[in-house]
Amino acid sequence: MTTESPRVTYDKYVKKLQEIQQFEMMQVEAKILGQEDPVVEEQLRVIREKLIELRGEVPNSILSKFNQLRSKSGSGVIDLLHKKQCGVCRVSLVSDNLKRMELNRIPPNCESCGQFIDVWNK
Amino acid sequence: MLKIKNFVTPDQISFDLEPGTQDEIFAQMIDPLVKSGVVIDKQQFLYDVLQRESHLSTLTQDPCVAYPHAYSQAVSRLGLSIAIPKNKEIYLPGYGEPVQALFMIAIPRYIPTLHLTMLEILNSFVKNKEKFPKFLKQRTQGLTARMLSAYKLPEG
Repeated sequence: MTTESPRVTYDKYVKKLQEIQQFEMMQVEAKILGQEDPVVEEQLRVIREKLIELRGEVPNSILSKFNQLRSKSGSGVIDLLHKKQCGVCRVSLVSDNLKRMELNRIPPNCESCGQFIDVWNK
Repeated sequence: MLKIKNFVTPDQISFDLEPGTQDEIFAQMIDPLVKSGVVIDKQQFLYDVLQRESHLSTLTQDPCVAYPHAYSQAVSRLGLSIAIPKNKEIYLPGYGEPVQALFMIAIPRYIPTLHLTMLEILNSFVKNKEKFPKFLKQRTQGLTARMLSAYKLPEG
């Protein structure tokens, strides 16, 4: 009897990467605005805790690729644009690959720039 | 490099914001963005802005200025709406001081980092002790827009 190995749920991880990116961006924005009051300090503390939790829920291989992309281009995960284009480099995804990404058969990375693409968010 | 003058137009500047809840204040600021086609779904964008505020306030003190913003599918391109309450005092939750100005930024989801430069320019302008008080006193939207449009980040 053979057992099928569980499929990686990329859709779930991409949603978490979206959240991580948004929370990381909030930290950057607070720094730019020089916010230091107690209300903001408390909110930032909650965000830091949430980030630790979210990062712990994403496999290391996915997280490290995401971190690399973030440090390179500022964005690690992006929406799919109309005409099936990557939101960062604007290269169109091959239809067949896009279908396989949607079915969680291959990682949802742009074939050109490597960006994680939220192919489920249309 | 992002140029602030490309985003500041007189029709996106309001002097007559009505006091109300946070939702009502932000909703008034979204109207010009809807008119100019920057925001294509007002309710969705308002929801996204309120969600963002619920995680982390965008209000700064000294001077008391707010920068409500959100990445949203309801946004077609980067846009800026400015409110300078001149006739009535506007308060946002959690702070006892009236807000001197609000800068609302609409960010499309496909460029999640572009607005950072805009935030940097706006915050630098607001912290400028010579220019910002003059900006608040301008009598027309045209002059207000011109003053902010001319601002450049200090070198270094």
